[in-house]
Amino acid sequence: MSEADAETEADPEHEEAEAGGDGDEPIPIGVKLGSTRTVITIPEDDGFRTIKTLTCLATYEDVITGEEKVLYGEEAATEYPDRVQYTLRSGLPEDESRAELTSTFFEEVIRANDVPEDSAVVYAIPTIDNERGLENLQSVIEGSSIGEALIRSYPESLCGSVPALGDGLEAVDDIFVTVNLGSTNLEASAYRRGEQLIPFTTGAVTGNEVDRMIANYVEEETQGRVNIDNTTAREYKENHADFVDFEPFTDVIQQPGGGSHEFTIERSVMDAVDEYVDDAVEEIANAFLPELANDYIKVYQLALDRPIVLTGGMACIPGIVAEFEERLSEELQREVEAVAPDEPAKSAAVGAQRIAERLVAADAY
Amino acid sequence: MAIDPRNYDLDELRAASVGQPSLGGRDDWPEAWVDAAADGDESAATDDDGDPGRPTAAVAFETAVTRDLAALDGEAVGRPYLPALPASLPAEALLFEWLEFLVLQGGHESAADALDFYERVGWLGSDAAEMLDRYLAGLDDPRGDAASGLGADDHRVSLHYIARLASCSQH
Repeated sequence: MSEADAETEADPEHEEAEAGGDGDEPIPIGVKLGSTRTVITIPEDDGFRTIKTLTCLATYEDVITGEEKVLYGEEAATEYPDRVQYTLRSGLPEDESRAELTSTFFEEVIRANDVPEDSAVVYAIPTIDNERGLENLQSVIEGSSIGEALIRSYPESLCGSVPALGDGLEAVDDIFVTVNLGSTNLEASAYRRGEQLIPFTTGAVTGNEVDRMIANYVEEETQGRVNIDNTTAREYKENHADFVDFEPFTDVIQQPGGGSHEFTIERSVMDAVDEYVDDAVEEIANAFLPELANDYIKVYQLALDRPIVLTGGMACIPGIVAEFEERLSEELQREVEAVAPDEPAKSAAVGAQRIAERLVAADAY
Repeated sequence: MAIDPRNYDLDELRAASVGQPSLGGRDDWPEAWVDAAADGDESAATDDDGDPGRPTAAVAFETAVTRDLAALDGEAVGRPYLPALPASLPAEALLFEWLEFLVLQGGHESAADALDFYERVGWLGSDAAEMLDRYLAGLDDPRGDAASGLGADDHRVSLHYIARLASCSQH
């Protein structure tokens, strides 16, 4: 019913990615089932096709046949804001009913976008200590129609770092620290040649919390005249937050009694993301890195002299990488460098696809 | 659980990745090396020194180094701290890990200079320095950061390895 935000881009560095094009090998696919967005990367022609969609769905009844229909992604969020359901709000399906919804969503995405079944699929999964949620996600993955040849999962933070550290899988041979600035969690890990060390996760500093803060600050800034929901707040964040060149913006709301109210937002968005960066730096500098220094002296020293990789949706905000770098350097009283992949929101799926490609090449299926 | 991202197959992932680290991954090491390295990784909890002006991570780093240096505090210990290299597989694993650190952090030339320096200040005996030079001659890593050289914290890490190697000698 819906069409995801699908795009195709040429990538001469990965022409060998056409594995499966000859019909003998499975197609290597990378998938990130994210709490806000799901991204799927599929090799196609000379490059890749990327499917990016909101992880949500809405059902409605066909007025003629009475049949239940499903809408997903942006279409569901826009057309049925009253009943749209974000199936992975906490990062993993919390219960069986959420798992079923996620399965329905995922199958709709697969079907609508012709994602090949004869495929080797690598999933980028958040490192959340939630046994039940992982079991539910496993049922979604195992029940899906793709990945007939091979299914693997790796930490989202590793997959997301892959595109930031080279054109291949250089990240797997490297020693580095990565921070995933996600919607539902802030995750940090050190990696030593592919081995995950000191996985750190907190739900206290999240993109979703930024959305809530923006909604609250908008109410304050407009002296209570404007109340926006979290979806609108997220759109404000995604469209206007900018550490380099923020400009106040104007929006209009329809008032209950008729008529409209125009208002201008000057501070609410940037105040919220500014506090977010402070909180993220605080967690990394004072919770994650001390643990790394205590347990892995050599990795700590090596990793801090190399770029720290920032991934996740919040890393898409223009200028946030430089802000994070500056504030973390100040907090640690030593210079650190931060980098992000070109497209942080897609990087986990891109990295997962590269791993899948190598596993296919190595006949791991 | 098959999809638990914490339980991925590291061997399969490394085999699928491009290139190989020039010093070899842990999978290439003898079992005793791996055990020795794991012993080093599982260090005890740190005590915060409570200095409010110091970054918490830096305090944790220094505490971890100091913890290993405690082995060098005994009256029997004099300079050079490490007269000769201990002859055991776990010690060999440690010294390769240390040399790898020096090469990655400062490049081959800085690593060689550092070993000379450690001999001059009495951290290494001439026998130990000579052997380490020989090992170093056979190592290189294209990822070595020759431009940055080695700093004070890098030398602290070296002292941490020297202390652990000296501890191996005592045992």
